[in-house]
Amino acid sequence: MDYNYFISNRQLITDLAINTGTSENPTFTPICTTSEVNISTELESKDFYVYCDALQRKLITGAAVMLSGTLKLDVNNEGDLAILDTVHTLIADGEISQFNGIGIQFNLLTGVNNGVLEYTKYQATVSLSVSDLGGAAEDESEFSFEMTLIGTATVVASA
Amino acid sequence: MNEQDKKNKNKVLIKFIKSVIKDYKVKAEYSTNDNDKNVIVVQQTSGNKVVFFQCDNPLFNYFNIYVYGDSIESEYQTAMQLGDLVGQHIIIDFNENEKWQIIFKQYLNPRTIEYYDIRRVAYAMTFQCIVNRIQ
Repeated sequence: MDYNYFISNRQLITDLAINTGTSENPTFTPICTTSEVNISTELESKDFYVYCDALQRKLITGAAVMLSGTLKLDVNNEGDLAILDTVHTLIADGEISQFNGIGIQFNLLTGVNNGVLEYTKYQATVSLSVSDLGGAAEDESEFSFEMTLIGTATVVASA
Repeated sequence: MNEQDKKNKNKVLIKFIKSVIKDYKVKAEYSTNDNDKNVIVVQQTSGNKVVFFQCDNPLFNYFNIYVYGDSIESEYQTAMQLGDLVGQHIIIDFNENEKWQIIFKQYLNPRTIEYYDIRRVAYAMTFQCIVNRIQ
């Protein structure tokens, strides 16, 4: 008999971590997100027609892979502060380079083995954008982030 | 999931709660015997359910949990301990070769004090849980 095995959103993508070291000696610190981190594949496509029928064809020509979520600000967390720091640098110095080429790691669910969920750990370089600093509710201290992958991610480990 | 599995959901939850709370007996019903002290009763109850396509049972069920302790304080602490299970996903072995998952989704009325008979006072709560056999 086949059984269903359900998971929560927290178990699809886990341990999203940001590089709080340098690019030569990276230290990945898990950031404190709320329950959901989304991966979306924003696909671009071209529509075209061929001679002999009137049906539209669609061809995928590219994808922007994006991780997005809501970060619950934990001021004891260096990773959270590193993201906040990018905003400080923008305001104080007018620089934007700190939003480019940020190293991250995350685990994405691969499958299940004897009841235990298995993940693949990816390391990637992303461009970061943050919005809604301060959040809507007084006691939330949340902000939204979007990380768009720059090139392919590297598989670091399977666990 | 066959009919027997559906009947086992309550037992699976009881087995897990037994492993978390050691100083209470955990069972499906309580006796009115005065010596039946420090009891947690777990009973499935009704509620709005969701059934997905190609699933042969509801995604989650509702369980009433009653904590009958020696004192209000002990009941309160035990009820809070159970309440902290929200968000947890547990994989538990059951019978031979069976594996089950329990996901604690929502927790309602954690501090409703109810009087069940002339002597007994319980903390009553309702948990919305996914109790599901995975293999």
